[in-house]
Amino acid sequence: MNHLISDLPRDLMKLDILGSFHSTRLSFSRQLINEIFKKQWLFNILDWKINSKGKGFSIITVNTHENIYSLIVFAHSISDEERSDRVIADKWDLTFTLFRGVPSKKEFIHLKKNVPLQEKGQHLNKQITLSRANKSMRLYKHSLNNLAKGKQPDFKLVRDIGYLLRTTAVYGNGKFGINDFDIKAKCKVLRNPFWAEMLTVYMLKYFSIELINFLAKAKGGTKSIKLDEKISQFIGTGNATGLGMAPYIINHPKLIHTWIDKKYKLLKKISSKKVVGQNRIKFIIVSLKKAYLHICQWKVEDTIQQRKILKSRKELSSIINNKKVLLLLKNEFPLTNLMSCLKDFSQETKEILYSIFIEAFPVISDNISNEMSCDENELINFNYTILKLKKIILKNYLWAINKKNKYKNIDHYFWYVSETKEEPRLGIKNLDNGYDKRLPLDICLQVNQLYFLLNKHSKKLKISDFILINPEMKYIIKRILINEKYKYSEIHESLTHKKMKPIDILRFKLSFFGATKFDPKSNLWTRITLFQGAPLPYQIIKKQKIEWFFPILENYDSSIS
Amino acid sequence: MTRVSLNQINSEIVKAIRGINLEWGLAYETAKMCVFLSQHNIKYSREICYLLNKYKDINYIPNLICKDKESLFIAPFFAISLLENIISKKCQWEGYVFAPQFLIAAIGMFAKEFNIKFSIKNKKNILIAKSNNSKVCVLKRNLNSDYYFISQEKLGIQPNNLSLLKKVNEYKIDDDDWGTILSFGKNSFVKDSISSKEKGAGY
Repeated sequence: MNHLISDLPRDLMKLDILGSFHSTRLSFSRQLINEIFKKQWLFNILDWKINSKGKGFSIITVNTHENIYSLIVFAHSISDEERSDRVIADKWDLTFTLFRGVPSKKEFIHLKKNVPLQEKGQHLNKQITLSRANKSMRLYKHSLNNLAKGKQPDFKLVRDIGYLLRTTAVYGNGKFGINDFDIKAKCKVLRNPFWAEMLTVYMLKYFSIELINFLAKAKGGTKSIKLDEKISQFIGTGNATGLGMAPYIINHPKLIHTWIDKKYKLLKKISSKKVVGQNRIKFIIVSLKKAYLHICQWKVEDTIQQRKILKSRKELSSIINNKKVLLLLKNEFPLTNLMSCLKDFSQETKEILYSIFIEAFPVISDNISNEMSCDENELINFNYTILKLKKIILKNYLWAINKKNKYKNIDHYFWYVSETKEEPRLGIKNLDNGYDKRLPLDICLQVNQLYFLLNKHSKKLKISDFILINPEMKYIIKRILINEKYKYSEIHESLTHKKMKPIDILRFKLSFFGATKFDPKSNLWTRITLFQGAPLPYQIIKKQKIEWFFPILENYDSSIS
Repeated sequence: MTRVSLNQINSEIVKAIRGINLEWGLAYETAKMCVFLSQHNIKYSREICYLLNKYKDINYIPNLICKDKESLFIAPFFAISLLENIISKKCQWEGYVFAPQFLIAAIGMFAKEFNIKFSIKNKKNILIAKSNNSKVCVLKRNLNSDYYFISQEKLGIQPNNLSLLKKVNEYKIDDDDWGTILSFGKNSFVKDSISSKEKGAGY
């Protein structure tokens, strides 16, 4: 790889880098829509028993030509005070499940009783996901009132919020007794990582548009109008995400390696191209402008993120208005040249450029996008000696044992699971209860403890013997040996350090989902939007090719129906 | 019987084992072996519950030298470590084993991952399980705690009267055992307080 896009774990696996990732064509929501479009999946509202107050249920099916899945949505009536995005909530505006096939009458009765209970329910193994969502009160109420009166919702409100419904958890992969994820499954929905969850979220986008149109008509009668097609397409599904993603990242080292490895191998391939065709160059220039407009519509309250956005706007504007860029792109190795010009730009901007590069080579990207899963079982050959293990630590974990590390701060925090709905939380050592029950996310500390202990044993001792004496070290030794084979499996920073921001870990994972408009609400949680700009089922069936990366809402006058 | 998913088995066993303070690395391995046994319809939950109750107040001390019945080798916690040791030392192991079905799970996992062949024999030197080409064959599915011999085999062993372990699609566990596992899992959580609520997402 050219030196301008470093693929070295020591450069790449840093929280500020991972926390700047943007969605790309490799992201799961993007892959899913590509597949839906290519295979012309058919969506159908099979049942709609929702009353004028928005209460009832709906069944929406999707026929993939190999399987049928149903999204069964139960719409409830809750007060504004009961609405919460936290995992510990127990009431939601909507509860829903993605189901293999169409439920029988008996199955439906079971779902009706249990899906609203979410974590506390008894779930069927035909359920692929289990989820819930709340209304975005500002946009939802406003849109309903306006549409009922024959007006479109206000442009600024749609642009700034961007969704009518916001999921607060989307459970998949066998959680609470639902269908297990299966890497060997024939259907991609069950085989590809997070496709089932993404399909659920996409179908909820579709449902949200149908719901608002239905309720506007019920409220306004003949005066009412439908949500404009372009606004409907722009509307995504919101999501509130918290700390649960950090343990996931640590618990799936091989999978995380796979995602990053694929992304950077792709960038390596693309950026090393000697010649890039005119059409692609044109696409890159158009995309730069699109990305600029997209981030001009990205506004958040979080001062750190807003500062990054503003900087990125300036940087993108300077690229677009720089005539040298066009000349550079016409020369040999255009992408390398472009990156060399921009080496001092912010990571936020660089990641936008990487997304554009990947987008410009759809065939190569789409081939790689089928390789984003892996078998996560991993046994280790413990035939190494302590000497060998120490060498590996010195080679790959210098970041952890380096004495320049401020030891007193590396375990400032600890991660734990609260007894209330098993919500992951972040405690402060020596201040909060639960340190003895902490999750093993203190990798940096564990590596230090291991290294110290290894020094007390003979260099020739086999690891398998060392573990019998020190079983508490097995977890970290296994991680170190996995990392020897999978170089991107470890974040090269302490996840318990005083300065660590969990929000970076969340953004990293969410970028692979295809999230946009990251909207940090604190260091602990963020709101995002999925499928913003994604074509709706009736647009897909018309075979309208719609580019929806870096979605933009074009200005409109809401008073014109 | 309670129907459960593999993900539930894995996560709830990890939590339960952590609930008695066994190390993370061992908790993950026990859970993976339970998943293997569930996939192949071999019972294990009674033994897990026995261990949870036995070790809830005392730390388990690993012991691979188990020549007498008083110091049984606890296969649910240490079967993987034992096989790692056998591979590393190229040796044979023998001793009294508690819950020997976990040895079958362990040889099955090694066979799948590394295609390493193992054989398990009983005290009468009768072959009762072997792994070969990612597959495991057993004489019978339910084994009692007893004296066993385990060794790594270079050549494939003739199957004799062993039958191939096949995967099932639905996983069930005894209601009471599942209840016990879930209740031990709760010991791995931290009690709620007003201040701790502010340590999670949403704040």
